[in-house]
Amino acid sequence: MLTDLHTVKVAGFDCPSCHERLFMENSGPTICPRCGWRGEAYIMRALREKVESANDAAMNQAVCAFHPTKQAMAVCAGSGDYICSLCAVEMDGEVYSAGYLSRGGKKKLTKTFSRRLNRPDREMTVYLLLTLIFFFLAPVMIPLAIHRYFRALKLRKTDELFARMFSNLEAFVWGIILAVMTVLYTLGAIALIM
Amino acid sequence: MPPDLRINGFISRKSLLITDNSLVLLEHSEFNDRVKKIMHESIESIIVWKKTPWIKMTLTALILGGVASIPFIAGSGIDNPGTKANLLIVSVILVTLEVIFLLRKNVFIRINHAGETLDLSFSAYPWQVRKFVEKSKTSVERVQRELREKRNAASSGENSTEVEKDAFFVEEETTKDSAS
Repeated sequence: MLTDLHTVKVAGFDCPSCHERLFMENSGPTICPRCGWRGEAYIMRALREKVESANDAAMNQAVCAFHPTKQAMAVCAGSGDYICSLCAVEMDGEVYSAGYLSRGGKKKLTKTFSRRLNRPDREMTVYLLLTLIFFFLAPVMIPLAIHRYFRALKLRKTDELFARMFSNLEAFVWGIILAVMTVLYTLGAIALIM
Repeated sequence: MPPDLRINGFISRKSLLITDNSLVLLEHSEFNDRVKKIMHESIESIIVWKKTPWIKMTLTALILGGVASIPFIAGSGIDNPGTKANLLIVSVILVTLEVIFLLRKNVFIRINHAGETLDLSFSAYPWQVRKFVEKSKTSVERVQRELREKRNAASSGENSTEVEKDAFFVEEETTKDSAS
């Protein structure tokens, strides 16, 4: 007689060497029984977008632009359409419709998950190195380096990623280097003129 | 706070940063970095494996070991104790450098996220990798647990009978005959 029903959760991943599906109950060191691959596997419980059954719209309620019988629950941040829970995709704190993302929103998708981080600190380093190699470029390069330094300081306040890449210590050290070079080149220029 | 892991390859340089809600991969170029963000909630697994670079290790041991032995051998034929000591120090420094270099292992990290795979291969010290993996694991698990709790709380408010299904976990249903 079948009365008790148990559910056993087993997590799996593909062996990087032979692509055999390996199942394991606990994360940690593991060995592939087929090819002998050894490594550590940490299995996470990724959250999937939950597709719920959207509520049917009543007479006086706004309806989804893609499902005319379903009740709208959000406005797409990209297209402005009313969307139901079946179409809503949350991304970076905004709600977009699946239709928008698959149509013209791919740029938005790329922009959200892949972008470029400006590095004015590197530009500053290059200008300072050029000054060291070609000293006659100093009147142009040092003001440019100072400009990039202040841009970097400004960017540190607005961009968390840049703040991690250009730390307090780096900002301090580069400030000192820049100040010393400015003073030395100014004195050198005055000495040349005199 | 510096990046959690720096990957200095032969051509490209990369940095990995663990933020509150995502894992950020910075691919460095001259004046800007390409940013790839992997949200913590989408990470399915992190797989790490190491390979010992035997050929590189042998070559390094032979070349650096050979170079390190030169001052040692040269020092044995010199009577001046000061010069002898200096040559011995140089030799010890070179051997230490060799040992530090030999400790580096070829590391491979595979991050499976939202049906995609991010593969990273680089040379690093084992403790650097361990620290990074531990930190990312803790961070990912925390975010996923928090979001799951939030989602479950929301769904239990709306519909108490709804059961969340996790597509990644294979659910095996086993039966027990309680009567026997």
